[in-house]
Amino acid sequence: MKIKSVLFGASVPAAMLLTAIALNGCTSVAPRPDDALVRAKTAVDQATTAGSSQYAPVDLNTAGAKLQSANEEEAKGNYKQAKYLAEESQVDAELALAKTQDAKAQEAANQVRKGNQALQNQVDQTNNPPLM
Amino acid sequence: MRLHSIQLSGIVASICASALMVGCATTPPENTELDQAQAAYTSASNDPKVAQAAPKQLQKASAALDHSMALEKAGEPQADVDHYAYLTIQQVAIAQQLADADAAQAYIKQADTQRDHMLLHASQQQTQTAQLRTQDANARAQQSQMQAQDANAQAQQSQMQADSANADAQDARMQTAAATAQAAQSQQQNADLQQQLAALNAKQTNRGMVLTLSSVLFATNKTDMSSGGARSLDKLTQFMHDNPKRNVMVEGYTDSSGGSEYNQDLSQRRADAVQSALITDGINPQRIATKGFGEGYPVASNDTRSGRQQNRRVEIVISDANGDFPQAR
Repeated sequence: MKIKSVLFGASVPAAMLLTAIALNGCTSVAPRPDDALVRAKTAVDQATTAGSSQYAPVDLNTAGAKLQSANEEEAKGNYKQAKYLAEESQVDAELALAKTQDAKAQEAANQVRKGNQALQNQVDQTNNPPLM
Repeated sequence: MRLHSIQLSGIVASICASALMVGCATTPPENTELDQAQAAYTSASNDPKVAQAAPKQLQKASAALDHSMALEKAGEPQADVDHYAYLTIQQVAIAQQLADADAAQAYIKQADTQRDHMLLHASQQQTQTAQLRTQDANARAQQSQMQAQDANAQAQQSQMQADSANADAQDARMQTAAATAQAAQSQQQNADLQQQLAALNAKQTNRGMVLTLSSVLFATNKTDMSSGGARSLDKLTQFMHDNPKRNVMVEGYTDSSGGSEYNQDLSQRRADAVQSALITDGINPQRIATKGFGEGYPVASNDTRSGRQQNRRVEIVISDANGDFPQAR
Protein backbone atom coordinates (compact mmCIF):
# COMPACT_ATOMS: atom_id res chain seq x y z
CA MET A 1 0.00 0.00 0.00
CA LYS A 2 1.43 3.34 -0.92
CA ILE A 3 0.44 6.50 0.92
CA LYS A 4 1.55 9.97 0.48
CA SER A 5 3.74 10.76 3.38
CA VAL A 6 3.74 14.17 4.97
CA LEU A 7 7.37 13.89 6.02
CA PHE A 8 9.10 12.78 2.87
CA GLY A 9 6.73 14.23 0.25
CA ALA A 10 6.81 10.95 -1.70
CA SER A 11 4.82 7.70 -1.73
CA VAL A 12 6.00 5.48 1.05
CA PRO A 13 5.05 1.95 1.96
CA ALA A 14 2.54 1.32 4.75
CA ALA A 15 5.35 0.23 7.01
CA MET A 16 6.75 3.75 6.91
CA LEU A 17 3.36 5.16 7.71
CA LEU A 18 3.15 2.89 10.66
CA THR A 19 6.52 4.16 11.67
CA ALA A 20 5.18 7.72 11.41
CA ILE A 21 2.37 6.65 13.57
CA ALA A 22 4.83 5.15 15.97
CA LEU A 23 6.79 8.42 15.95
CA ASN A 24 3.62 10.30 16.82
CA GLY A 25 2.87 7.98 19.77
CA CYS A 26 0.61 5.50 17.88
CA THR A 27 -2.65 7.36 18.23
CA SER A 28 -4.13 8.55 15.03
CA VAL A 29 -5.20 5.24 13.36
CA ALA A 30 -6.36 3.06 16.25
CA PRO A 31 -10.16 3.04 16.64
CA ARG A 32 -11.96 4.09 19.80
CA PRO A 33 -11.69 1.07 22.12
CA ASP A 34 -15.34 1.15 23.15
CA ASP A 35 -15.73 -2.63 23.26
CA ALA A 36 -12.59 -3.07 25.30
CA LEU A 37 -13.71 -0.42 27.78
CA VAL A 38 -17.16 -2.02 28.14
CA ARG A 39 -15.67 -5.46 28.66
CA ALA A 40 -13.28 -4.09 31.23
CA LYS A 41 -16.00 -2.32 33.14
CA THR A 42 -18.18 -5.45 33.13
CA ALA A 43 -15.30 -7.54 34.43
CA VAL A 44 -14.49 -5.09 37.22
CA ASP A 45 -18.14 -4.87 38.29
CA GLN A 46 -18.48 -8.65 38.29
CA ALA A 47 -15.34 -9.09 40.36
CA THR A 48 -16.54 -6.45 42.84
CA THR A 49 -19.94 -8.04 43.24
CA ALA A 50 -18.39 -11.44 43.89
CA GLY A 51 -16.49 -9.98 46.85
CA SER A 52 -13.05 -9.68 45.31
CA SER A 53 -12.24 -6.72 47.56
CA GLN A 54 -12.06 -9.33 50.35
CA TYR A 55 -10.43 -12.24 48.55
CA ALA A 56 -8.24 -10.53 45.86
CA PRO A 57 -7.90 -6.88 46.80
CA VAL A 58 -4.64 -6.17 44.97
CA ASP A 59 -5.86 -7.53 41.66
CA LEU A 60 -9.17 -5.73 41.99
CA ASN A 61 -7.53 -2.41 42.86
CA THR A 62 -5.14 -2.73 39.94
CA ALA A 63 -8.02 -3.52 37.59
CA GLY A 64 -9.90 -0.48 38.82
CA ALA A 65 -6.92 1.84 38.45
CA LYS A 66 -6.18 0.63 34.95
CA LEU A 67 -9.81 1.08 33.93
CA GLN A 68 -9.69 4.64 35.17
CA SER A 69 -6.48 5.28 33.24
CA ALA A 70 -8.02 3.70 30.16
CA ASN A 71 -10.92 6.11 30.33
CA GLU A 72 -8.55 9.03 30.77
CA GLU A 73 -6.44 7.99 27.79
CA GLU A 74 -9.51 7.51 25.71
CA ALA A 75 -10.72 10.99 26.59
CA LYS A 76 -7.33 12.33 25.52
CA GLY A 77 -7.60 10.46 22.27
CA ASN A 78 -4.84 7.96 23.08
CA TYR A 79 -6.86 5.08 21.79
CA LYS A 80 -4.20 2.44 21.57
CA GLN A 81 -3.03 3.16 25.08
CA ALA A 82 -6.63 3.17 26.22
CA LYS A 83 -7.23 -0.22 24.57
CA TYR A 84 -4.19 -1.80 26.19
CA LEU A 85 -5.14 -0.46 29.59
CA ALA A 86 -8.71 -1.67 29.14
CA GLU A 87 -7.55 -5.16 28.13
CA GLU A 88 -5.23 -5.38 31.12
CA SER A 89 -7.93 -4.08 33.42
CA GLN A 90 -10.26 -6.77 32.14
CA VAL A 91 -7.81 -9.62 32.63
CA ASP A 92 -6.87 -8.33 36.09
CA ALA A 93 -10.52 -8.21 37.09
CA GLU A 94 -11.07 -11.70 35.69
CA LEU A 95 -8.15 -12.95 37.73
CA ALA A 96 -9.54 -11.25 40.82
CA LEU A 97 -12.87 -12.99 40.19
CA ALA A 98 -11.21 -16.39 39.65
CA LYS A 99 -9.23 -16.01 42.89
CA THR A 100 -12.42 -15.09 44.76
CA GLN A 101 -14.36 -18.05 43.44
CA ASP A 102 -11.48 -20.36 44.17
CA ALA A 103 -11.20 -19.05 47.74
CA LYS A 104 -14.91 -19.67 48.34
CA ALA A 105 -14.65 -23.17 46.91
CA GLN A 106 -11.74 -23.86 49.26
CA GLU A 107 -13.73 -22.58 52.21
CA ALA A 108 -16.64 -24.82 51.30
CA ALA A 109 -14.33 -27.80 50.94
CA ASN A 110 -12.85 -27.07 54.37
CA GLN A 111 -16.29 -26.97 55.92
CA VAL A 112 -17.13 -30.32 54.41
CA ARG A 113 -13.80 -31.74 55.54
CA LYS A 114 -14.43 -30.54 59.11
CA GLY A 115 -17.96 -31.89 59.03
CA ASN A 116 -16.85 -35.31 57.93
CA GLN A 117 -14.13 -35.35 60.55
CA ALA A 118 -16.61 -34.52 63.26
CA LEU A 119 -18.94 -37.21 61.98
CA GLN A 120 -16.13 -39.74 61.98
CA ASN A 121 -15.23 -38.78 65.54
CA GLN A 122 -18.81 -39.24 66.62
CA VAL A 123 -19.02 -42.64 64.96
CA ASP A 124 -15.75 -43.69 66.58
CA GLN A 125 -16.97 -42.59 69.98
CA THR A 126 -20.21 -44.45 69.60
CA ASN A 127 -18.44 -47.64 68.63
CA ASN A 128 -15.70 -47.30 71.19
CA PRO A 129 -17.06 -45.33 74.10
CA PRO A 130 -14.39 -43.86 76.33
CA LEU A 131 -13.62 -45.81 79.49
CA MET A 132 -15.37 -44.32 82.49
CA MET B 1 14.29 8.56 -1.58
CA ARG B 2 13.14 5.14 -0.67
CA LEU B 3 14.15 3.69 2.69
CA HIS B 4 14.37 -0.07 3.14
CA SER B 5 12.09 -1.42 5.86
CA ILE B 6 15.05 -2.91 7.70
CA GLN B 7 16.85 0.38 7.86
CA LEU B 8 13.57 1.99 8.77
CA SER B 9 13.13 -0.52 11.58
CA GLY B 10 16.47 0.48 12.97
CA ILE B 11 15.54 4.16 12.87
CA VAL B 12 12.14 3.36 14.34
CA ALA B 13 13.80 1.43 17.11
CA SER B 14 16.02 4.28 18.09
CA ILE B 15 13.23 6.86 17.77
CA CYS B 16 11.03 4.55 19.66
CA ALA B 17 13.56 4.58 22.42
CA SER B 18 13.28 8.34 22.79
CA ALA B 19 9.65 8.84 21.85
CA LEU B 20 8.08 6.07 23.86
CA MET B 21 9.55 5.84 27.32
CA VAL B 22 7.42 3.06 28.75
CA GLY B 23 8.51 -0.50 28.22
CA CYS B 24 10.93 0.31 25.48
CA ALA B 25 14.48 -0.99 25.45
CA THR B 26 17.26 -1.09 22.87
CA THR B 27 18.56 -4.46 24.01
CA PRO B 28 16.17 -7.03 25.41
CA PRO B 29 17.18 -7.78 29.07
CA GLU B 30 17.22 -11.26 30.43
CA ASN B 31 13.94 -12.73 31.57
CA THR B 32 11.69 -10.41 29.74
CA GLU B 33 8.01 -10.46 30.28
CA LEU B 34 7.69 -12.64 27.23
CA ASP B 35 10.13 -15.15 28.74
CA GLN B 36 8.05 -15.22 31.87
CA ALA B 37 4.89 -15.65 29.86
CA GLN B 38 6.38 -18.55 27.94
CA ALA B 39 7.54 -20.26 31.09
CA ALA B 40 4.19 -19.80 32.77
CA TYR B 41 2.29 -21.14 29.82
CA THR B 42 4.54 -24.18 29.42
CA SER B 43 4.20 -25.05 33.06
CA ALA B 44 0.44 -24.73 33.07
CA SER B 45 -0.19 -26.59 29.84
CA ASN B 46 1.99 -29.45 31.12
CA ASP B 47 -0.04 -29.67 34.31
CA PRO B 48 -2.75 -32.25 33.62
CA LYS B 49 -5.01 -30.77 36.27
CA VAL B 50 -4.98 -27.35 34.61
CA ALA B 51 -5.18 -28.78 31.10
CA GLN B 52 -8.22 -30.79 32.13
CA ALA B 53 -9.96 -28.16 34.27
CA ALA B 54 -9.50 -25.05 32.10
CA PRO B 55 -8.72 -25.91 28.47
CA LYS B 56 -10.49 -22.88 27.01
CA GLN B 57 -8.73 -20.56 29.40
CA LEU B 58 -5.39 -22.09 28.41
CA GLN B 59 -6.31 -21.45 24.79
CA LYS B 60 -6.79 -17.75 25.55
CA ALA B 61 -3.36 -17.72 27.18
CA SER B 62 -1.89 -19.49 24.20
CA ALA B 63 -3.38 -16.97 21.79
CA ALA B 64 -1.98 -14.06 23.77
CA LEU B 65 1.42 -15.73 23.88
CA ASP B 66 1.43 -16.31 20.13
CA HIS B 67 0.50 -12.69 19.58
CA SER B 68 3.31 -11.53 21.81
CA MET B 69 5.85 -13.78 20.11
CA ALA B 70 4.75 -12.65 16.68
CA LEU B 71 5.12 -9.02 17.65
CA GLU B 72 8.55 -9.67 19.00
CA LYS B 73 9.61 -11.57 15.92
CA ALA B 74 8.32 -8.70 13.79
CA GLY B 75 10.38 -6.26 15.80
CA GLU B 76 7.35 -4.47 17.12
CA PRO B 77 7.69 -2.11 20.07
CA GLN B 78 8.50 -3.72 23.38
CA ALA B 79 5.44 -2.15 24.89
CA ASP B 80 3.23 -4.12 22.54
CA VAL B 81 5.19 -7.35 23.09
CA ASP B 82 5.04 -6.81 26.83
CA HIS B 83 1.35 -6.04 26.79
CA TYR B 84 0.45 -9.39 25.24
CA ALA B 85 3.00 -11.17 27.42
CA TYR B 86 1.27 -9.65 30.45
CA LEU B 87 -2.10 -10.83 29.19
CA THR B 88 -0.62 -14.31 28.75
CA ILE B 89 0.64 -14.42 32.32
CA GLN B 90 -2.71 -13.29 33.70
CA GLN B 91 -4.64 -15.79 31.58
CA VAL B 92 -2.40 -18.61 32.80
CA ALA B 93 -2.98 -17.50 36.40
CA ILE B 94 -6.73 -17.55 35.80
CA ALA B 95 -6.47 -21.08 34.41
CA GLN B 96 -4.65 -22.20 37.54
CA GLN B 97 -7.30 -20.64 39.79
CA LEU B 98 -10.01 -22.44 37.83
CA ALA B 99 -8.18 -25.74 38.21
CA ASP B 100 -7.82 -25.13 41.91
CA ALA B 101 -11.51 -24.36 42.35
CA ASP B 102 -12.32 -27.42 40.28
CA ALA B 103 -10.31 -29.63 42.63
CA ALA B 104 -12.20 -28.19 45.61
CA GLN B 105 -15.54 -28.96 43.94
CA ALA B 106 -14.40 -32.49 43.20
CA TYR B 107 -13.39 -32.92 46.82
CA ILE B 108 -16.75 -31.70 48.06
CA LYS B 109 -18.50 -34.15 45.79
CA GLN B 110 -16.55 -37.17 46.99
CA ALA B 111 -16.78 -35.95 50.58
CA ASP B 112 -20.55 -35.94 50.30
CA THR B 113 -20.40 -39.56 49.13
CA GLN B 114 -18.03 -40.36 51.97
CA ARG B 115 -20.40 -38.70 54.41
CA ASP B 116 -23.32 -40.74 53.10
CA HIS B 117 -21.28 -43.91 53.56
CA MET B 118 -20.37 -42.94 57.09
CA LEU B 119 -23.97 -42.17 57.95
CA LEU B 120 -25.13 -45.45 56.46
CA HIS B 121 -22.44 -47.34 58.31
CA ALA B 122 -23.25 -45.47 61.50
CA SER B 123 -26.94 -46.13 61.13
CA GLN B 124 -26.23 -49.81 60.56
CA GLN B 125 -24.16 -49.81 63.71
CA GLN B 126 -26.91 -47.97 65.48
CA THR B 127 -29.44 -50.50 64.29
CA GLN B 128 -27.31 -53.29 65.67
CA THR B 129 -26.79 -51.48 68.94
CA ALA B 130 -30.45 -50.61 69.08
CA GLN B 131 -31.35 -54.24 68.53
CA LEU B 132 -29.10 -55.31 71.37
CA ARG B 133 -30.53 -52.58 73.54
CA THR B 134 -34.05 -53.63 72.62
CA GLN B 135 -33.28 -57.19 73.62
CA ASP B 136 -31.82 -56.00 76.85
CA ALA B 137 -34.76 -53.70 77.47
CA ASN B 138 -37.16 -56.53 76.71
CA ALA B 139 -35.50 -58.79 79.24
CA ARG B 140 -35.62 -56.05 81.83
CA ALA B 141 -39.21 -55.32 81.00
CA GLN B 142 -40.11 -58.95 81.56
CA GLN B 143 -38.37 -58.88 84.88
CA SER B 144 -40.11 -55.69 85.84
CA GLN B 145 -43.40 -57.19 84.82
CA MET B 146 -42.86 -60.17 87.07
CA GLN B 147 -41.93 -57.85 89.89
CA ALA B 148 -45.01 -55.83 89.19
CA GLN B 149 -47.13 -58.95 89.32
CA ASP B 150 -45.62 -59.84 92.65
CA ALA B 151 -46.25 -56.37 93.91
CA ASN B 152 -49.78 -56.58 92.60
CA ALA B 153 -50.44 -59.83 94.42
CA GLN B 154 -49.06 -58.31 97.58
CA ALA B 155 -51.15 -55.27 97.10
CA GLN B 156 -54.22 -57.40 96.62
CA GLN B 157 -53.47 -59.26 99.78
CA SER B 158 -52.94 -56.04 101.63
CA GLN B 159 -56.16 -54.77 100.15
CA MET B 160 -58.00 -57.85 101.40
CA GLN B 161 -56.48 -57.38 104.79
CA ALA B 162 -57.47 -53.78 104.72
CA ASP B 163 -60.96 -54.69 103.64
CA SER B 164 -61.20 -57.26 106.39
CA ALA B 165 -59.95 -54.76 108.92
CA ASN B 166 -62.40 -52.29 107.52
CA ALA B 167 -65.23 -54.75 107.87
CA ASP B 168 -64.16 -55.44 111.43
CA ALA B 169 -64.06 -51.77 112.13
CA GLN B 170 -67.47 -51.40 110.65
CA ASP B 171 -68.78 -54.23 112.78
CA ALA B 172 -67.24 -52.67 115.81
CA ARG B 173 -68.77 -49.36 114.92
CA MET B 174 -72.14 -50.94 114.41
CA GLN B 175 -71.85 -52.76 117.65
CA THR B 176 -70.85 -49.58 119.37
CA ALA B 177 -73.73 -47.82 117.74
CA ALA B 178 -76.08 -50.59 118.76
CA ALA B 179 -74.69 -50.54 122.25
CA THR B 180 -74.97 -46.80 122.36
CA ALA B 181 -78.47 -47.01 121.03
CA GLN B 182 -79.26 -49.64 123.57
CA ALA B 183 -77.71 -47.57 126.29
CA ALA B 184 -79.62 -44.58 125.12
CA GLN B 185 -82.74 -46.64 124.97
CA SER B 186 -82.09 -48.00 128.40
CA GLN B 187 -81.35 -44.54 129.59
CA GLN B 188 -84.53 -43.34 128.01
CA GLN B 189 -86.41 -46.23 129.43
CA ASN B 190 -84.80 -45.55 132.70
CA ALA B 191 -85.75 -41.96 132.45
CA ASP B 192 -89.23 -42.95 131.45
CA LEU B 193 -89.34 -45.39 134.28
CA GLN B 194 -88.06 -42.82 136.70
CA GLN B 195 -90.65 -40.47 135.44
CA GLN B 196 -93.31 -43.05 135.79
CA LEU B 197 -92.14 -44.12 139.19
CA ALA B 198 -91.98 -40.53 140.21
CA ALA B 199 -95.48 -40.09 138.91
CA LEU B 200 -96.47 -43.09 140.98
CA ASN B 201 -95.16 -41.36 144.04
CA ALA B 202 -93.26 -44.52 144.75
CA LYS B 203 -90.36 -44.32 147.10
CA GLN B 204 -87.08 -46.05 146.77
CA THR B 205 -86.53 -48.41 149.66
CA ASN B 206 -84.19 -51.27 150.35
CA ARG B 207 -86.91 -53.60 149.06
CA GLY B 208 -87.20 -51.66 145.80
CA MET B 209 -89.67 -49.03 144.70
CA VAL B 210 -92.62 -48.93 147.03
CA LEU B 211 -95.92 -47.29 146.44
CA THR B 212 -97.80 -46.64 149.59
CA LEU B 213 -101.56 -46.48 149.63
CA SER B 214 -102.85 -44.69 152.66
CA SER B 215 -105.58 -46.06 154.91
CA VAL B 216 -107.85 -43.19 154.05
CA LEU B 217 -108.37 -45.05 150.89
CA PHE B 218 -109.84 -47.83 152.96
CA ALA B 219 -112.57 -47.35 155.34
CA THR B 220 -111.71 -48.61 158.82
CA ASN B 221 -112.32 -52.28 159.05
CA LYS B 222 -113.40 -52.23 155.52
CA THR B 223 -111.58 -53.93 152.79
CA ASP B 224 -113.10 -52.27 149.77
CA MET B 225 -111.21 -49.50 148.22
CA SER B 226 -112.77 -46.15 147.89
CA SER B 227 -113.03 -44.49 144.62
CA GLY B 228 -110.11 -42.30 145.60
CA GLY B 229 -108.07 -45.41 146.19
CA ALA B 230 -109.05 -46.75 142.82
CA ARG B 231 -107.86 -43.59 141.19
CA SER B 232 -104.47 -43.95 142.88
CA LEU B 233 -104.18 -47.33 141.38
CA ASP B 234 -104.78 -45.96 137.87
CA LYS B 235 -101.23 -44.76 137.60
CA LEU B 236 -99.93 -48.07 138.85
CA THR B 237 -102.10 -49.86 136.35
CA GLN B 238 -100.74 -47.68 133.59
CA PHE B 239 -97.22 -48.38 134.79
CA MET B 240 -97.79 -52.09 134.75
CA HIS B 241 -99.31 -51.94 131.30
CA ASP B 242 -96.25 -49.98 130.09
CA ASN B 243 -93.78 -52.29 131.81
CA PRO B 244 -95.12 -55.77 131.26
CA LYS B 245 -92.11 -57.37 132.84
CA ARG B 246 -92.67 -55.66 136.12
CA ASN B 247 -94.59 -57.47 138.86
CA VAL B 248 -95.94 -56.15 142.16
CA MET B 249 -96.02 -57.46 145.70
CA VAL B 250 -99.01 -56.00 147.53
CA GLU B 251 -98.41 -55.87 151.27
CA GLY B 252 -101.14 -55.07 153.76
CA TYR B 253 -100.48 -53.45 157.18
CA THR B 254 -102.65 -52.45 160.14
CA ASP B 255 -102.24 -50.44 163.29
CA SER B 256 -101.96 -52.16 166.64
CA SER B 257 -105.57 -51.67 167.72
CA GLY B 258 -107.43 -54.90 167.80
CA GLY B 259 -106.03 -58.39 168.00
CA SER B 260 -103.04 -59.52 166.01
CA GLU B 261 -104.91 -62.40 164.35
CA TYR B 262 -107.65 -60.04 163.38
CA ASN B 263 -105.16 -57.52 162.14
CA GLN B 264 -103.33 -60.22 160.16
CA ASP B 265 -106.55 -61.20 158.44
CA LEU B 266 -107.51 -57.61 157.86
CA SER B 267 -104.16 -56.75 156.32
CA GLN B 268 -104.38 -59.75 154.00
CA ARG B 269 -107.87 -58.85 152.90
CA ARG B 270 -106.77 -55.25 152.18
CA ALA B 271 -103.91 -56.56 150.04
CA ASP B 272 -106.36 -58.80 148.21
CA ALA B 273 -108.66 -55.87 147.62
CA VAL B 274 -105.86 -54.02 145.87
CA GLN B 275 -105.12 -57.13 143.86
CA SER B 276 -108.78 -57.34 142.76
CA ALA B 277 -108.75 -53.73 141.71
CA LEU B 278 -105.66 -54.29 139.60
CA ILE B 279 -107.12 -57.44 138.01
CA THR B 280 -110.28 -55.52 137.24
CA ASP B 281 -108.06 -53.04 135.37
CA GLY B 282 -106.73 -55.83 133.23
CA ILE B 283 -103.51 -56.72 134.96
CA ASN B 284 -102.61 -60.42 134.80
CA PRO B 285 -103.19 -61.96 138.29
CA GLN B 286 -99.90 -63.81 138.01
CA ARG B 287 -98.15 -60.52 138.16
CA ILE B 288 -99.69 -59.59 141.52
CA ALA B 289 -98.62 -61.24 144.76
CA THR B 290 -100.30 -60.41 148.09
CA LYS B 291 -99.15 -60.66 151.64
CA GLY B 292 -100.52 -59.47 154.95
CA PHE B 293 -98.21 -58.35 157.68
CA GLY B 294 -100.81 -57.44 160.30
CA GLU B 295 -99.44 -55.05 162.96
CA GLY B 296 -95.90 -55.73 161.84
CA TYR B 297 -93.48 -53.20 160.41
CA PRO B 298 -95.15 -50.09 161.76
CA VAL B 299 -93.97 -46.88 160.19
CA ALA B 300 -95.12 -44.68 163.02
CA SER B 301 -95.96 -44.86 166.69
CA ASN B 302 -99.27 -46.59 167.47
CA ASP B 303 -99.69 -44.38 170.55
CA THR B 304 -100.98 -41.48 168.58
CA ARG B 305 -103.99 -41.24 166.36
CA SER B 306 -101.95 -39.94 163.43
CA GLY B 307 -99.36 -42.66 164.02
CA ARG B 308 -102.02 -45.33 163.91
CA GLN B 309 -103.44 -43.79 160.79
CA GLN B 310 -100.07 -43.99 159.14
CA ASN B 311 -99.65 -47.59 160.08
CA ARG B 312 -102.89 -48.49 158.43
CA ARG B 313 -101.63 -48.86 154.89
CA VAL B 314 -100.95 -51.01 151.85
CA GLU B 315 -97.48 -51.04 150.43
CA ILE B 316 -97.05 -52.08 146.83
CA VAL B 317 -93.53 -53.18 146.11
CA ILE B 318 -92.57 -52.97 142.49
CA SER B 319 -90.32 -55.72 141.27
CA ASP B 320 -87.00 -55.32 139.55
CA ALA B 321 -86.85 -55.31 135.76
CA ASN B 322 -87.01 -59.08 135.68
CA GLY B 323 -90.08 -59.24 137.80
CA ASP B 324 -88.29 -60.47 140.91
CA PHE B 325 -88.29 -59.31 144.53
CA PRO B 326 -84.77 -60.00 145.78
CA GLN B 327 -85.27 -58.06 149.04
CA ALA B 328 -88.77 -59.15 149.89
CA ARG B 329 -89.84 -59.24 153.50
